[in-house]
Amino acid sequence: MKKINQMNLAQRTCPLLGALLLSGAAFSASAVEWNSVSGKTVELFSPGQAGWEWVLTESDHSAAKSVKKGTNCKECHNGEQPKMGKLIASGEKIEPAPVSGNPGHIPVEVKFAYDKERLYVQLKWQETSQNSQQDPDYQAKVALMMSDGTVKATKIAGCWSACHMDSNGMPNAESGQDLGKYLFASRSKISRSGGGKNLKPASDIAALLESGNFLELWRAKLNPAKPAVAVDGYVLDAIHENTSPSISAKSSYAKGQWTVELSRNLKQAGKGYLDFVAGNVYQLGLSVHDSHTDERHHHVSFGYTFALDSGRADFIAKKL
Amino acid sequence: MIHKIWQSLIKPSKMYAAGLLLLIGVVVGVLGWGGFNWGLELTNTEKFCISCHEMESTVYQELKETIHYSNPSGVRATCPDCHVPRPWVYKIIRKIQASNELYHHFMGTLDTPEKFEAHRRELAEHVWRVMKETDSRECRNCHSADSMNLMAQSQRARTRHEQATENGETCIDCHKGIAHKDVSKEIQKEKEQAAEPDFGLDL
Repeated sequence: MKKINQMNLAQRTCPLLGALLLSGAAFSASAVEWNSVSGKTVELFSPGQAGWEWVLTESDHSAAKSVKKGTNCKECHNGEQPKMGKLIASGEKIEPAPVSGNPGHIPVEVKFAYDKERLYVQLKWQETSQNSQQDPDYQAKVALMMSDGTVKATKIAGCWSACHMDSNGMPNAESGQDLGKYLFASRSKISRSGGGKNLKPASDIAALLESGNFLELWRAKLNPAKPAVAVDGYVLDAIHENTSPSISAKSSYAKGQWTVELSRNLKQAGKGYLDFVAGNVYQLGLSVHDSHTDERHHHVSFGYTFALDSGRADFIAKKL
Repeated sequence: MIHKIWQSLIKPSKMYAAGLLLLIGVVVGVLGWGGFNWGLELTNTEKFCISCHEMESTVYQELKETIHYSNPSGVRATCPDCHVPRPWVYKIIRKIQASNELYHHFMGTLDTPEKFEAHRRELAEHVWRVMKETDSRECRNCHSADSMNLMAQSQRARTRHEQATENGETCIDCHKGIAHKDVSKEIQKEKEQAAEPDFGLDL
């Protein structure tokens, strides 16, 4: 290898360009100057097996009546996420299969921005010391679920109302089933163990979708030094993933810190997409599957809100 | 003999001045009334309550583990603070009702841990019902909503107290089990399992 001071300009520049290209393979240049966007830290925590029916049952969750009346979880629990998460992650409460090394909570920095065309969300968090091989394919995954408020429960608890006591890995799951997330509105009857089998007719489900009664779903599946795998879809009677996503996902991983950017057009044709318009407030729940965890072993957020440019919301997307 | 005493009581006195008799009557009345209240208040002490082993070995031991027994401010609630009304009329009614408790003490209804546990829910539900009917009167002997500094409470406590006020709830609606072993959750669970859940499908 030649000494640096003997190299000509091209010889000096090529390695530099090469390094830039390599780093770009993991995180191609974002359209957003994220350093100029202010964000907030959201505490995500281990939810254990506290499905929506659990939250709505007074002997399990003493504030069930308040929840049914529309009180947002944060009104009592804001600031308690680390404590709750640690209690659950230790296996002491509503967690029969704790993951070793789970700290119980993950602080995630969240930023929103938008321009004429697209909405952008950036998530940043430090990987935990969990020891899990539940998902050997992906080191981490993130998910956002959003509503324009049509799903009333999102104003109370974000995406919590999509999680049920008879879903996979939950106490009332039936063996051999594959039941993921769904909304109460898609079921004709709900019991304390869920509403899994009591599906409404397809025409009712179609009408619910048409009327905005769904959660838009954004997902990114992540491995270090590999492009993020974007998935989008919606949750109504089940999780519906589009064969070809409309969202973009970018990620980078350095010294245990994940940085993920998700974005899509403000308006998107097709079923199960919200229109993002300035002046409206949107409901949000987010989750991180950290360190190869899967299914219910994610860390989740309470319900938050976001708006474009201005408004009364937890997050205001900066206009670029 | 009784006839003689009766005769002396219904006739005006020849020997003693009316004023003297009146004074003696006042003194006897004060001593009698005072004595009655003094005796009544003797039964209004923790010491008296836990002189029955049914109470001392069960609910009193449970109380000792709670904030009503030991707390940063050093204010302690004892048995009568929560279980005996302070207004005189309600107190007397409660004391008359307590003769039932004396009866059951002598009958040994709760005189073993097993018997006590068998009756625990019935006893607890009775106390909760009375507290609910009286808008938690005994809680309010010490705790006043007007004096409650909500900003000094945790967010969770503040939110729940504000909601309780809005919903017209009373202390015992949420604070069952604050001083003794809490059986309210298991009772609640049984009621829930026996009934259809009231989840709205729009939730």
